[in-house]
Amino acid sequence: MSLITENLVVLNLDSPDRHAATRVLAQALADEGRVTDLDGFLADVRKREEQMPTGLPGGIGIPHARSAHVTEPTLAFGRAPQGIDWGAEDGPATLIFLIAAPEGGGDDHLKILAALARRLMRTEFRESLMNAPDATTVVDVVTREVVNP
Amino acid sequence: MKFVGVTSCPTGIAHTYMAAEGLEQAARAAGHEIEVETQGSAGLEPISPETIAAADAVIFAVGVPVRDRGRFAGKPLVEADVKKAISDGPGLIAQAVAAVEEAQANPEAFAESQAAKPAGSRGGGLVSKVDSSAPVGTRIRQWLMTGVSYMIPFVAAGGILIALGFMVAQLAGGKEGAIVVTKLYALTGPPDPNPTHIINIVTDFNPADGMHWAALLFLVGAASFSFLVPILSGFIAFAIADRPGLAPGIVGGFIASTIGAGFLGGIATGLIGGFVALWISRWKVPKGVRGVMPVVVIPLLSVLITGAALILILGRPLKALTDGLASWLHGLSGANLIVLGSHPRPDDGLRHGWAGQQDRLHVRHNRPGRRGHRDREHQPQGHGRRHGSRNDAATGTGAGHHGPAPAVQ
Repeated sequence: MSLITENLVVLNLDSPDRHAATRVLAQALADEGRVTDLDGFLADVRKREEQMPTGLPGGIGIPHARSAHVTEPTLAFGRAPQGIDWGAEDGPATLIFLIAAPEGGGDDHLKILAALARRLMRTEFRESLMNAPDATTVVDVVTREVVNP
Repeated sequence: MKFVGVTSCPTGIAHTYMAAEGLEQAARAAGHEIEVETQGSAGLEPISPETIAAADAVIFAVGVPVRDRGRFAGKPLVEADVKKAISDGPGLIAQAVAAVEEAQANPEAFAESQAAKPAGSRGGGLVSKVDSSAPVGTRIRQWLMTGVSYMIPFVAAGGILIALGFMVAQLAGGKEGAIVVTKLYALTGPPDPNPTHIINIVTDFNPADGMHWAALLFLVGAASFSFLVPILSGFIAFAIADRPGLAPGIVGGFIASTIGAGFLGGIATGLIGGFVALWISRWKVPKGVRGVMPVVVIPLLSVLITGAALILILGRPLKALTDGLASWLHGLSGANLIVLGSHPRPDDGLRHGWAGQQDRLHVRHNRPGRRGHRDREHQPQGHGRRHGSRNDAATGTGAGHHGPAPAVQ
């Protein structure tokens, strides 16, 4: 199964805050069957978020959790042109990556998420996601860069 | 320059790897080399000791404590939150470069700052071979190997000294020298001023007598051997429970050694001591008691439980098993006993050939390692018994007759 599908891409995320934005992306995960218990998963993400907000410099938010309610490692991607405060010092986040990892995931699966995390540090990767015209392009970019590098 | 780094974060799926990427990009951009160990959830690939040894400095960008931190000791260190490596990798690399230059410019101050750190974070701290994420079978092997690795120096020192002792004894005392050296000399005086053949080489050492030199070598080697089981047991427990395991493991191992349960007993007490100490150290106790846990409660209870378990429950079956194995091996070849080690019996291979000699001298079939060299072997049986019982009453130790202090053997 794929790390990301077109249904897991939200190009116009206009939620008022990060918790609402996370819920929108998590709902997409639940709709795709990647998350079995939406509220349980959100509670896990929130717990991580409360330890330390996951906003990063450069307009990125990476809410994430290892959760028993996740069936397989999955990425939901959201783009918020107006920006959503994610706790980063340099301003709101415009690229949101909700990373869902199963509790006892095998090594191979987790390696894909590790590769994804590394790509997030590359400017070209961020830019091509920022400029992607549609969901298909986003899925293509992620698949090309992360899944089949 | 060459750097090594460790990144980690609470969840272990995102920041860890972003931070590693941040450090690698920044190092490359500045013309340095770096290898980063990502202590995340996607499998741990430890940096090789050679790479660490070759590194100029260490960078920790972590959200949770570094695993096996001792590996990186003794190098200039830059430590920061994991987010710092993501937001400002170049800044961390620059700090590392500065730390290296500072250490080079002022090596004495650097050495002092290293020495001031607590023992656990330095290279000299005790380490175990245990990877806590390994499967159970692997961990059992790692516990045992930790014990063995700490025991090896005692084996080496003791074995070579005893061998040298025999060699010198044969040169100085002729054919019987190797037997005599195990029987006639001790580190403590004879228990009674009555005429005796036991020579206390502490008070009566004669540099002109070759046999005294042989006895010196033999007795120091035997002392080293008497630590084999306690150290094996202690460091098995240490591998399981860390520092709290040492006391129950070593004491349990000493009892195992004393009652003749040998290495099997030592392995048992190592495992018991380790798990008891681990279990007690995980008790949830009120804040006021927490301070005395490592000082009083854990040692007291873990030593008592381990010792009692061996004496009351496991001691007899383990001794029987050890004796059974020992006599079986004895049937194969007398010299191999030490491998199973019911106890160090360096003279074992020679004993049978000298049985007649021993009987003539009224020597009981003592195991010198177990009963100690102050035993009254060269006296008539009756005297030996009388002295033995008096000695027990005088010392009044629980280990009693069969448990001389380890330093003696």
